[in-house]
Amino acid sequence: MGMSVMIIDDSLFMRNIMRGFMRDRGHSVVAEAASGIEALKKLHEVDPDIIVLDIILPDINGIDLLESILKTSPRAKVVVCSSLGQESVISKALESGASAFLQKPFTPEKVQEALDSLEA
Amino acid sequence: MDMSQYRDLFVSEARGHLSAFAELIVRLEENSADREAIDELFRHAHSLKGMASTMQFDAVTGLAHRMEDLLSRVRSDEFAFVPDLADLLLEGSDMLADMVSVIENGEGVQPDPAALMESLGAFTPGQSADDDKPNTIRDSDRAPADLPGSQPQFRKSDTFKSVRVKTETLDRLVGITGELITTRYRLTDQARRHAGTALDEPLHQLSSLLRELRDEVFQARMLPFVVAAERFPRLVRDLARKQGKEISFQITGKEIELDRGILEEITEPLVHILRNAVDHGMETPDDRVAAGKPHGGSITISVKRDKDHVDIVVADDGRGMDPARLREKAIEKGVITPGQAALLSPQATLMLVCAPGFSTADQVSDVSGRGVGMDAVRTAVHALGGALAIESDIGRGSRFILRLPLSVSIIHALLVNSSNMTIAFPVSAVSRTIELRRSDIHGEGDRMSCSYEGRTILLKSLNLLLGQTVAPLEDNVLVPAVVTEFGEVTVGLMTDRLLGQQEIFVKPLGAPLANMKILSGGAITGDGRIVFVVDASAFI
Repeated sequence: MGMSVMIIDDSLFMRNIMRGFMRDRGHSVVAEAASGIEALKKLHEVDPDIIVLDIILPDINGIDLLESILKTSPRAKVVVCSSLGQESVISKALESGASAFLQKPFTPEKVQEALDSLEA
Repeated sequence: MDMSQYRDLFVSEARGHLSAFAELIVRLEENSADREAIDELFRHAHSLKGMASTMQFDAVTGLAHRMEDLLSRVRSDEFAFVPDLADLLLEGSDMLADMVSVIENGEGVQPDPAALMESLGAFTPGQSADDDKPNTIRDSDRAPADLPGSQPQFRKSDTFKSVRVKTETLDRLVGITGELITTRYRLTDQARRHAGTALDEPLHQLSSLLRELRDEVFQARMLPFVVAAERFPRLVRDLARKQGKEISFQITGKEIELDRGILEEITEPLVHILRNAVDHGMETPDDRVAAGKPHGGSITISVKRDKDHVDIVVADDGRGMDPARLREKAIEKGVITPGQAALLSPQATLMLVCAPGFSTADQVSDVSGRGVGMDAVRTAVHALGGALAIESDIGRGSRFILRLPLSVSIIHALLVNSSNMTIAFPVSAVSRTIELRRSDIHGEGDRMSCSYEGRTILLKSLNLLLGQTVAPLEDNVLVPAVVTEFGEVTVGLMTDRLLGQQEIFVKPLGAPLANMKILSGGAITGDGRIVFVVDASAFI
């Protein structure tokens, strides 16, 4: 069944790709944000099932943002994304309450895998 | 999954990262302890790597990854941001830019990053650095940035507040707006004749709406100066390093907006002036110290907006220009005769550097002195309806002042009548207007002159210049003339009648009129007359 998704990434390129993957899988992207501030603002208006969060953003430290998101949207499952080399931040994110981790580069399979792990 | 649909977006976003990257490196060279800049550098490399890996651009991914690794070592205070590191990272960002271009064009050979990747991986600071004092920033010197609870730093995100518009679309909008303004003039003219005052109210309304439309459309064409200046810090830095000069470079007024077309035309001239400033204007550190000046020099660009023009000033605190030497050189090069040289004012002497074929460099370096010269700079400024002025003090530096109009297509013009033609001069090109009696004018034909502000200036007949016949001057008729001044030359252009000032919409001329050097465009007045816009500098 399709789920509602929010994508938080400062790169329009990355958001477009993720949006494409999500749509291909029948999920609907209900909101996108390019910064932590924008994300927190939008989370007052939408209540997504899944939040895909790039852990490196220009304005707010990713872990701080994750904690705020979990407070604002306790129902949402957060998938944190990052490239290689950010392992320590990723493990910190998982400790802080992120539900899954997705490593760049994204492929449709990896995205599916991360989404599947949420169901389990 | 077809990724090619994302290629354009990749290219434009990658470019954004790379230009920010290069700018940050230059910023760090001024202040290597700029923590925020290091974090941002790291983030740009990191983002680019992630994007490239998603697109499976492996060469870009690999190189960006190495740069990111190196930056993360700086970030964790393993070593400080030293100049060698800056060079290496700039080399990296240049190669990445080349790779992105190849990707964009879909053809060409990708540069081989292997050697550079190796240098990046093997980088150890201080190997060629001349000091081994600890440069590293201690943890205790700064607040830990990554701990929860530290103040998050907010930056504006305008991603969704703007859209991309093709520049041709903007040009068309300006065209349509200009036509609308012209049509409104005509409508007003007809309404006065046939409808009395009945249409006054709606016409008034139309006028004010059109004014608003014009302002908005022009606003949409405006770009901040920084768009053109983005590569200047890097340019100055590279040139200075190559020549062993120490220069701090500052730009103020980056945010001042100019018309896109003007910005485009003015970028290369500014590059030339900057090259000159580094190459010829600035002394070596030794020479500076010997002259009792600080070791490092400074070059600044300041942009200021006035009501109807923008001034761009490029200033250096280098050796300045010596008028006596300029005069000698100009005589030697056959630009002027010794007799003419003796009559030049100090300001006019400085403008000699803009004379075609003039160069003061003792030797031509590979940096400047070839290709476009200051004469091309002056020509470009004049073609935009602007003006160039030069100031200089020996031993203290030089200033190049470019005064530019805010827009090229809608300008304030002085309309004059000549042989039943209406001719428009951009107001920015007119020094003043004068009225002459026959007795004020000496000589005749193409050897006329008059006295103006205590000196003798050349007089030319606009009728003659436009290929029209000239009636003999009558004794008791006042002849209006437009005085235009460009650097060393002041010329009075005699006309039949001055018609006044008006805002006009200038359009480019088609062939064969476009081939006439003295005409820079055409416009239509409210009563349907065609007006020719002249490039006053072409008369000199």
